[in-house]
Amino acid sequence: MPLLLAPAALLLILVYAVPVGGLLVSSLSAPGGPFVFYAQILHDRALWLVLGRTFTLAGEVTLLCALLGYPVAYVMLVASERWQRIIAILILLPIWTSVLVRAYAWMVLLGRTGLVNQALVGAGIVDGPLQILYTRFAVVVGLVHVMLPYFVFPLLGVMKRIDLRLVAAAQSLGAGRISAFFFVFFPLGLPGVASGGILVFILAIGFFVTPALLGGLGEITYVMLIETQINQLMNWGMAAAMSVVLLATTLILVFIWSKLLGFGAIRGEAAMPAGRRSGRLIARILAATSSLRRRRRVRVRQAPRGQSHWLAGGVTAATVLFILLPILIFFPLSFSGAPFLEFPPSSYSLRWYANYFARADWLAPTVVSFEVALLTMGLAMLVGMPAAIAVARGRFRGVGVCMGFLTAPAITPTLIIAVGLYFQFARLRLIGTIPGLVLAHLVIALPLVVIVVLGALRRVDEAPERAARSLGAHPVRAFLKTTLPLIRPSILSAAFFAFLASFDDVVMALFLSGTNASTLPKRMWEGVRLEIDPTVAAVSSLLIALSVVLLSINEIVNRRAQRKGGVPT
Amino acid sequence: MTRKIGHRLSLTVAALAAVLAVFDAGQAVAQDKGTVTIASFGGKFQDGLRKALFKPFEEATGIKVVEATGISLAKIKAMVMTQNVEWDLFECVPSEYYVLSQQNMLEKIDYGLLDKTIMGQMDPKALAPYGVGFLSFSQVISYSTRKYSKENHPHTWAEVWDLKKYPGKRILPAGDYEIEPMEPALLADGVAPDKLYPLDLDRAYKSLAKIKPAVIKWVTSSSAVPQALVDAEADIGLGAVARIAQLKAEGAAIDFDWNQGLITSDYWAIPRGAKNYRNALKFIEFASQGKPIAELVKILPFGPSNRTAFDYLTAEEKAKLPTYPENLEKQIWLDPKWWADVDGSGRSNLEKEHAMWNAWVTQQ
Repeated sequence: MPLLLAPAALLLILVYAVPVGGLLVSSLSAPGGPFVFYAQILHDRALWLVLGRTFTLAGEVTLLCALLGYPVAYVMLVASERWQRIIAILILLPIWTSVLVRAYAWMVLLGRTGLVNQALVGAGIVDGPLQILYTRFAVVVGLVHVMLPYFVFPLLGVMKRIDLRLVAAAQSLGAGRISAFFFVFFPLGLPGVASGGILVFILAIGFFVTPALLGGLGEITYVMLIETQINQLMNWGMAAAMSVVLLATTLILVFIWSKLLGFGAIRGEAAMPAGRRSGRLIARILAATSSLRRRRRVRVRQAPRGQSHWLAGGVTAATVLFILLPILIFFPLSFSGAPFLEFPPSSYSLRWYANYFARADWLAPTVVSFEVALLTMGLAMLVGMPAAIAVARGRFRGVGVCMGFLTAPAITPTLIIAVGLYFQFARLRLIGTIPGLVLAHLVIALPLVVIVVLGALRRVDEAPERAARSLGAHPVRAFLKTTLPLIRPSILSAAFFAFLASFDDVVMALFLSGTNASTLPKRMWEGVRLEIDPTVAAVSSLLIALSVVLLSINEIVNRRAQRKGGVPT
Repeated sequence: MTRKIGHRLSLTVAALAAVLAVFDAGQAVAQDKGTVTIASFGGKFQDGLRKALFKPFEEATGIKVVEATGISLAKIKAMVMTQNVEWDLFECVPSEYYVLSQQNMLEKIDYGLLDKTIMGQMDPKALAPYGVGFLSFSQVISYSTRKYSKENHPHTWAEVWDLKKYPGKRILPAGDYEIEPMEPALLADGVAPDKLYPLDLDRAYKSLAKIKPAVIKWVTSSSAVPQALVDAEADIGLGAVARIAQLKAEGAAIDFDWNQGLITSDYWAIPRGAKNYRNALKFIEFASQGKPIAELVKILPFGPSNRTAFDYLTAEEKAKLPTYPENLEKQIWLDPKWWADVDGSGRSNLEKEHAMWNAWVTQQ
C-alpha cells in the first residue's frame, strides 16, 4: 500500500520539501544566531495578533461556506440529474475569471455608489450609503465567493454515496422528515463537511489577493506580512521563519479539529464513533423542536429524490444568485466603450474583444494556460489518486504524517514555494518552460486532489471491492470496476480543482514563467501597478461564454443519448 | 554527502522534466550577443516603452529587445543568487533601488562607457552608482470632481488633513507599501518640506491617527487609488499623476493639484551578473537622449531627466510633465535613501517602519 504513495511523495519531496527546506535552513542562518528570527517573531505582539485574526477570518469563511454550501449540496443531491448539472455549471461559472476581476466586481457591487447600496437606499432601508467595501464583511463575501465550490463539491461527493433508503426507512419507522434528516442523513454526510471545511479553511489562510483588495486594516493576514518580507524588505530568513510558524500552527489547529470533531479528517478512519456521537448531539439539539411538533402526524415518504425542503431550496437559489452576481457586472463591463473600468459603462463597444484577438501577448498566454492546466490536471490525478487510496486504506504507521505532508503545500504561502523552486529550476534550466510550470503547479494541485478523493474514499463501502478480489480479480481491476465508479463525482471535482489551481495561479507564473511561457493570469496581472486593463473583463466573459457553450453542447448530446435509451455521461 | 543527494535529487527532477519536455513546444531560447532583455511593468506602460524606446533602439543599433514583465524584488534576488540572470535591464522605483543596491544585487553603472554629452544633459540627481533615473514620477493630491472642483479642493497636505473644511473619504497608501504615507503625514503636521528628513516617525504616526477615521482604505497597489476616485468610493487621495492625468483626459471625473506633490525617480538598473551588460548600457544611453524620451513622455506623462527632451515638445505637452519647471517648483523631492539607512541594530529605517506599522495597525 505505501508503494502507492511513492509517486506523490517523491514528487513533493523534489519540488516542495527540498526547495522549501532549503529556505527554512536559511531562516536558521541569520547573523545573530540560528533562532534570532524566531525570537523576533515570538516577541512581536503584532504578528501574533495578525496570526489570530487570520485564523478567525478563515474560520468565519469556513463557517459561512458550510451554512450556504450544505443546502446547495443537498438540493443538488436530491434534484434531477439535469438540475444537478445546471446548478453545478452555475456555481462554477465565476471560476473562469481571475480573482482580480472578481475583486473588482465586488468593489463595484459593494461600493458607496454600488448596486447593493443603491438597492438599500432605494428601498428605504437605510438613509445614506453604508461603508461596506474595505470592511470585514466585504472580505468575507469575496472569500466565500471564491471558496464555495471547494466546499460544495467534496461534500456532494460524499452525500452521493449515502444510501437514501436509510432515510426512507427511518421515515417509514415513524421519523418525521426533519428528524430523519438530522438523525440519519446528516451524520452520514459529516465526513464531507469535514473535508470540504478543511479545504476551505486551509485555502482561506493562504489567500491574500482578496483581503488585500477588499479589506481594511483589520483584515491584514499573516500571508500578506510574509509577502512583504519576501518582496519588499527582501528578508527571506524572516519570511521563512514566519512560514514555519504559520505552517506549524495551522497543522496543529487542523489536528485539534479532527480530534475534537472526530471527523477523521486527517486520517482515514480516526475516531469515527466520536464523530457520530458529536454529530448526533448537534442533530438532536437542532431537531428537538421540529420532531416534537411532528410527532402526531406520521408521514411516510419514498426516497427523497426530487424533493427538498423549501428552506434548502431558498438558500440554494439565493446562493446561486450570489455566485452569479459578479458575472452580471463584468459582462456589461467587457462591452464598455470607456478606456477605463467604469460601471455602468457610459458607452458600449467591442474594443476590448478586438484588443484581445488582435494581440499575440493575450492569445499566446491563453494557449499556454490551457496547456499547462490540462497537463497539471492529468498528472495531479495520476499521482494524487493512488496517494489518496494509500492514505485511506493504509494500515501502516505514519499514515497521519503522510497526510500532513501531502496537504502541507496548500498551507505554505505559494510565494515561499515559488522562491524555493526558482533556485532548483534555475539550476535545471526549467525557468520559462512549460514542464517547469507544470511541476510547480502540481505542488499546489496535489493537496486538493488528495483531500477531495480521500474524503470520498472514506465513506465508500469496501465490501464489493474485497468481494471482487476474493473472486480472483486483480486488485487494480477490482478497484477500477467497483470503487472507482462509486467515487466518480469526487474524482471529477478533484480534477477540476487541479485544473483550476493551475489555471488561476499568478504567483508561480510570475516567478517561473520567464520571458517565453507567460500564462493568462500573469498577463492579467500585468500593468496592474498602474491600471486595470478592461481587456481582462473581455477575456473573462469569453471564457465564461465558452464554458457555457461547451457544457450546453454536452447537455444536448446527453439528452439525445438518453432519448435513444443510452446511458448519460 | 548532502551535496551528492542534492545532485541525485536534481537528476531525478531533470528526468521528470525531460518526460514533460516531450509536450513542450517552445524551449527557452538561448541569448546571443545581439539581444538585450528588458523587464518593465507591462500593460499600457510597456506599450509606450515599446513604441518610443524599444523599436527605435532596435532600428538604431540592430540589437534585439526581448521583453519581460513581472518585476519583483524577490525574483531579482533569486535570479542573482542562482546566477540565472534572465534580465539585462529592469525598471525600479527608488525604494527598490536602495534595497537592491544595499544587498549587492546590482551591477555598477560604468559611466565611462556612456556618452558624456548625453549624460551631461541629465539631471545630476538621476546619475546614481547602480542605476540611471531616466524618468521622474509624482504622487499628487487627487480628488473626485463629483465632490470637489478646480476652485474648491485641498491644496496642501494640511488641508487634506483638515476634515472640517474638506469633509469626505480619504484614500492613502499603507505604511508597508512602496509609497509611504509618512511624508504627507509630517507635511500635514507642519514640518517644512526642506526639514522632512530624517523623518520623525513617532510624530508621523500621531499625525496619521488624526486622519485615520476618514481613511477608508490604506492601499497596497497604485491602481487602487485612481479606481476608487473614479468610482466615487473616495473623495481625496494620493494618486500617481500619470494615471490620474490619463483618466482625466479620458473623461473620468477626477482631477489633481501639483502643489505639494511628491516627486521621485524611476531607474534603469542592471541585475548583478546580467548576460548582456554592454547592450544594457547601450540601451540606457539611447533611452537617456532627449528625442526618444520626448516621444515616450508624449505617450506616458512622466518627467524626463534629460532637460533637452523639452525642446522636442509643444508647450501643451510640456505643461503636463512632473519635471516641467513650473510644476516642479510646487513639488517636494522624496529622499528614498533615508529609508534605506541602517543603524547599529542592523535594520533599515524601512524595516523599522514596517514593524511600527504592524503594531499600529493591530493596536486599533
